[in-house]
Amino acid sequence: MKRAIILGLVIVASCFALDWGVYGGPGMSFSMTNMKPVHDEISRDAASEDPNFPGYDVGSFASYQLGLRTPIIIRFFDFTVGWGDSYSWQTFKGNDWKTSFQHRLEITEFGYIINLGDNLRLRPVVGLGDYDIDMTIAELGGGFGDPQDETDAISRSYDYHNFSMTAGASIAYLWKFDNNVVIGVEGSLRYLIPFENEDTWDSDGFYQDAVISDFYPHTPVAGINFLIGYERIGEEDRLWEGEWDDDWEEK
Amino acid sequence: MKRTLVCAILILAVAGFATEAGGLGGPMVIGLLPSFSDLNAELDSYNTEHFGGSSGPELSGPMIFLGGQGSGFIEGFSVGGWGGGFFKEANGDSSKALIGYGMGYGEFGYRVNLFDLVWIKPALVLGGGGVGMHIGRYRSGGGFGDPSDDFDNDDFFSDDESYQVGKGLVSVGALVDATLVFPMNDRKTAFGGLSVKAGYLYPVYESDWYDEHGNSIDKDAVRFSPSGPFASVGVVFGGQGTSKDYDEDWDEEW
Repeated sequence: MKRAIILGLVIVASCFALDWGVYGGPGMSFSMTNMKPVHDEISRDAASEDPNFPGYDVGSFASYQLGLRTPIIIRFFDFTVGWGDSYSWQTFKGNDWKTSFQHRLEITEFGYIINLGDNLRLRPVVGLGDYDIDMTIAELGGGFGDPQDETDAISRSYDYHNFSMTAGASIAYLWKFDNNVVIGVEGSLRYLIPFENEDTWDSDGFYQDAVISDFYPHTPVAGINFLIGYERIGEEDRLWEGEWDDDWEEK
Repeated sequence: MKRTLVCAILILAVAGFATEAGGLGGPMVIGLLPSFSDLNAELDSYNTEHFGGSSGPELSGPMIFLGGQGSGFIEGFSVGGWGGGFFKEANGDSSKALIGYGMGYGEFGYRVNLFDLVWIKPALVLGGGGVGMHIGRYRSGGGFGDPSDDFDNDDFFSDDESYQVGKGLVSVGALVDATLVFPMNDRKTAFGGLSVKAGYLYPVYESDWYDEHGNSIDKDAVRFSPSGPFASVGVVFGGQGTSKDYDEDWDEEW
């Protein structure tokens, strides 16, 4: 669906000679979602509730997430709409259990380009979208398993979705060529604020959903990525065709 | 990321012939030198514990990848990608390990043209890959044996005598590419070449191992990642053009 929208917008812009551009490029993302409430819940001693289950004993975790981002940005005049997906992974480990997380930001962002110089562009943005976290709690082995052991792994999986908004800015340093191709580097900083305070962790199996009361995943999200694109902005970018036509007619 | 790379290459390819721009690609062979020491230690103990042997499979040397590369460039900037895969095996006295692997990377660099003969390109890469390993019982007779002997040696793939495990990773890296360019027409708009790369891949994220039944094995308990120093050699073919070339030719014909 996104591809069809992008293609449609580009065709419309081309046909009507609007100022337009399309940019994208892979890079790295960094966020600092506070996972301590989740860690506390997973690793707490559950013996008081169930004497047969001592808890997951998940011992260590990092307070940041590092991953990939693959933004795609469409420009009309100085306004932009972008899909700033980013992915990161995180694991809590203990002696017998581990918990792995995949954080996924699927945010549609609206922005405005402010030229700060020939090569430098600032782009304030606001965005709306999902902050999704996939979690799996599984047994952790300390070595390769027995080939004669045919039993499947014991694990539990949960999905967390929180509709969120972002606000922040990107700054890009770009080189633009005669053929309207642009290449550069973009750095971005956002703050993500989820709308739901106590969203549920939906179970993937025949077990109960979970609610972690203190977990509210607001976080700064920083990123850096390459940026490659094509744009036709202003009269200068359209003059080339006109001059070529004039020369041709004179000859 | 694949989607972004394809868009980038298409943009450069389609829009490229107004300034100095072009593209090139071709097959390549990559040699990667990871550390096998921890994995070999695990395979040795596995060979002893589960197959009753005394000397486990010992992987060594480079991991060879067969693959391809492609990139587009505009002026000095270059965007492209490369990747490949293959397999490697090692025998112990009672077991064999067979590793299949693959990787793919996006490459972003700046190309310096030296005398229209050699292109030197320092670049950053971002990508990842995966490894799958099959460990199974293996009996070697030490020779070709007696044709009347119906000894069955298919335990390597039997469920009770084999084990499969795999992992994935995301890496960043840096490389230098040197491409020796041979023009294939008078205007030097088509060319062939010999491309050599050398660089280093550093894992920023490694998964744990996952076996055939979905069990996790701590990556820190059996350390291995297809990363480290690497080198490659490949043949490339491509084309390039400039607005200056185009206008002059057009004028002459007119």
